[in-house]
Amino acid sequence: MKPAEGSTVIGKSVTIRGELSGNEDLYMDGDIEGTIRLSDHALTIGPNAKVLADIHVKDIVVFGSVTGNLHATGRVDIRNSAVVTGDISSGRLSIEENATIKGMVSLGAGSPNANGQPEAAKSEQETLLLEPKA
Amino acid sequence: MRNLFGGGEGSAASRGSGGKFPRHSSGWKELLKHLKGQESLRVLDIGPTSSTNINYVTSLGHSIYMANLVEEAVRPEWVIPGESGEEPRYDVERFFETNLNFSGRNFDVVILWDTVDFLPEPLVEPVFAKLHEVIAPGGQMLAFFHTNNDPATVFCRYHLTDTEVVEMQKAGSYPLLNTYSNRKIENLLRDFSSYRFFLAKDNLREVIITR
Repeated sequence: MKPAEGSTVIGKSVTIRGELSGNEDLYMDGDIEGTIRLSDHALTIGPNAKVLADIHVKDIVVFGSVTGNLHATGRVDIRNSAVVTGDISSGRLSIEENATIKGMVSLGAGSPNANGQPEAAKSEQETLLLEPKA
Repeated sequence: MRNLFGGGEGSAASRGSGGKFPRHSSGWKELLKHLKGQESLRVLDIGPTSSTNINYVTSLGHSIYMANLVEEAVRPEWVIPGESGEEPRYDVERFFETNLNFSGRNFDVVILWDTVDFLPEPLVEPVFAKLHEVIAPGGQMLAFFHTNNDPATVFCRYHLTDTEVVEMQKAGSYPLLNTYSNRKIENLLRDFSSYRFFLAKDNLREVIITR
């Protein structure tokens, strides 16, 4: 996983405690505890990152572990290896299979469509209605 | 869900969790009508994370909360060793504080799948009590229950679709721990206002429960 060209890179040996804010794209592969604020820019959480922070960004791509709430005005992209424990609110969301999310997901307008519609036998089930006794 | 993914004993681990298998679900069909007829519902999906479910539920204009209780429940940290010959016991209170703390949120819809059949028995009654607490009055829940303890039963990730079908995908190797009779299920649901059973030809019963 290579950081996008032009991004500021925080490597995997770096640990930060406190608020991280800026006006450029950021690739974070280290540990951070606190808050990340990149209101008009993109954040990439690398596969080695351990993030314990509330995050406010335009766009975010997550490969690593995040504990905290994700707020993105643009797109949230949760990749295969990612583990997100916290709430996600964004305009658009993409989640790869086998990513893990524990928390609430809320989207604004323009959310993605549902997936395909596999075939199965309709006559597999019979319906039985039972009502509570009291 | 019974092992529909082929192979015999010992082959489950090597199969991985790739394949999906469609299953007709009358319960999902009912719930889907509800989801399509309402706006801005809060949905709780208690199963392994499914990107399909998140995409689908949010595409209907609802929000979704994901919580995988089975994976969390098998961790040894919840078992308190017994003192002076006593049996070990399950730390229900701490498990709930960690895994079923929704920060005061209520939900309009809960999709429980067959989770309770894979939970340690001490958690089952408290889970229903907690769900009764967090489901808004009139809210609905879909639950599946296995009719027998077939050792070939595997734990599945269920994927929603826009039809009356759910897709099942093997999701880890967790043993089936509980099976309940209709009477026992009714007892577990005693605090809810109503429920409807859907009997299938496979070994899953589906229940739509109204808070």
